[in-house]
Amino acid sequence: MNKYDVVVIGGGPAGIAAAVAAHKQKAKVFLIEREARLGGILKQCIHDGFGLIRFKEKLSGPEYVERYIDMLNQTSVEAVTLTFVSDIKQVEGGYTLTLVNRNGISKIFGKTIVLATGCRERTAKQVLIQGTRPAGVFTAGTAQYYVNILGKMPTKKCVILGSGDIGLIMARRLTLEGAKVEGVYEVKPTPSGLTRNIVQCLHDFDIPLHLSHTVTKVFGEDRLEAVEVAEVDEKMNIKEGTQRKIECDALILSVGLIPENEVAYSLDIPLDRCTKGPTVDQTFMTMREGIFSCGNALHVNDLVDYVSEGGEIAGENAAVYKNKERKLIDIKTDKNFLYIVPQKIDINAPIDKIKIYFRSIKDFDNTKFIVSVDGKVIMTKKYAHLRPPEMESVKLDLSKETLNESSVILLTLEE
Amino acid sequence: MNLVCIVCPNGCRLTVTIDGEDITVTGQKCPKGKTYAIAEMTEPKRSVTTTVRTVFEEAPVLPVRTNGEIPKDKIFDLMKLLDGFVLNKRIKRGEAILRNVFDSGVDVIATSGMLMKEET
Amino acid sequence: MSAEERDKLIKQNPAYGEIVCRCEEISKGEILDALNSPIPVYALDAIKRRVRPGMGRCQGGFCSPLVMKILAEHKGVKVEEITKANQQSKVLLGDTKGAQER
Repeated sequence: MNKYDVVVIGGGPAGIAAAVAAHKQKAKVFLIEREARLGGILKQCIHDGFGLIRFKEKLSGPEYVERYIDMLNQTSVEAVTLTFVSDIKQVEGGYTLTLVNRNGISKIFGKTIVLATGCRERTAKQVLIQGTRPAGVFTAGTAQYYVNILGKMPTKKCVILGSGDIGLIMARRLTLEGAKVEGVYEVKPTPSGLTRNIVQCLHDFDIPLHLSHTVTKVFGEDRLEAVEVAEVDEKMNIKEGTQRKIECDALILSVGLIPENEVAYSLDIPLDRCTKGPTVDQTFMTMREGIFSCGNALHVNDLVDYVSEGGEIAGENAAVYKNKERKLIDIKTDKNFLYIVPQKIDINAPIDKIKIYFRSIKDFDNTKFIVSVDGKVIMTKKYAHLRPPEMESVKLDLSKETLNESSVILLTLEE
Repeated sequence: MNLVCIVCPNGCRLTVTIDGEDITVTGQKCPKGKTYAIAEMTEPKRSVTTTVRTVFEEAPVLPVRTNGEIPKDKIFDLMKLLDGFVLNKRIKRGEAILRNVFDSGVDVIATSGMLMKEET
Repeated sequence: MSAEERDKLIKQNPAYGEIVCRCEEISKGEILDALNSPIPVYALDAIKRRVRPGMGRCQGGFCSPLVMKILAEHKGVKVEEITKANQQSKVLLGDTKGAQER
């Protein structure tokens, strides 16, 4: 059985960054990817806006990830594609993984594992739309695959439910390919995607955005023929009398992403209820020794630049992992945070260059992000605008503080 | 008039005032914001990202983009131009398939090197 | 099936080692078996009932395009001919770049 210091599961931007970072620390690395090509979801994200922070350039998804693939090709990391992880078992000193591919079944040993398995889309089933089950209902990511990888059109005239980034991007993409996007309907009173996508995908093409609206019914036996939309109140209940039928041949759903953590379930790795990803410390190690997490599997990101950064943190730490005893303290937050990553600090691990990612619970203008340790304010950062769809990242240095197991680290947002 | 800058993730809220020929921009955190706002008021430009057909079975379409911005009102003209384009050469990531579209000084380039045969 | 038996099967037919539906761990070989059976089925829903791709967490989000390609290739047709259920339920309309016709 081949033995590795770090086994990375997932060959998208997070996994590749982790593998390259682990290799830089002189670890023996194995990368497993289930698709035929590396690159993860970025292969189909042909729009630009990637790498503004990382490379100070406006790249498309394939360009961004191929730069990382080029870096990977410069290393001695063993990468396999079209390979599936069927089973993982904890053993003495690490984990054995059972792999399935066209060559057969094989087993490898990894001292540490980096979970970089990305996320999946919330489905029609989970949005509970009444009516028939015709062809023509697509999640935005699947529609994107058809258009950008297979070169096929799924629609002539469609309605998009959900103002998440993928829905906004597809509104523009489908319009550019000649389809009519009747409108984007969002159940919340505020849009879910990045502001710049609202501008360059909807405003640019005069595609209306209807907030506080949802799709209530679908019509059509074999192929979608129409949908019914309606206004909702603050409790997201349908307002009677606001129903409207719209003729269309497709309903595109952009109603949320869910981190993929089946492996975490099978290994009893605790997940954070808010992020739906594993709870981690500042080294991005989960609560299971030697198992690290990064990318969208850890928490759904908006910017791939932060995905790469997170991948590097996980990969680097997996490479130098020594199975030392951890001393974990929770990072506490006030009610103004939707979530933070990491959720815990291991005071036995380096605490000088901690990266904290967070989302505010609602829109805030002119806010101060404050970090206090045992009641003493040690850092503040001002933000002109904070929105839940726009995740922020801060650097934190706790090395100058005296910390012990009962120390209280508190993050607050003050307007 | 208010607009949101779309150049980078910051999304600065900009206020633009036009007084005859003078355009004043406030709210930007960097000079790119001012450039963007002025362009939006005078001649809005956008980058275009799309795919082109290829003759290669393993890649029915190849992703491409403009390597700069073209006038916003030329977006669909460019799409029409690319509709008829069929790539029959294995080109590298970054290579141009069309140069200087509509005399804009902007090329359309491949954004993936997937057509290049891998050396094993 | 033990790992040894599965390994032997894959070495005889590599399609059994190519996982298409990762939520339910279903291989291309199993899908092809359904297509090669005495009563082949060429619709997504029918394959889903027989072999289960599309029944898992992602509800076909990742595997539907792959399953459609396998069906189209086996039948010798373009992928836009593949239906969800009966003949009137085509999933795709045709190629992109047809904006002129639209």
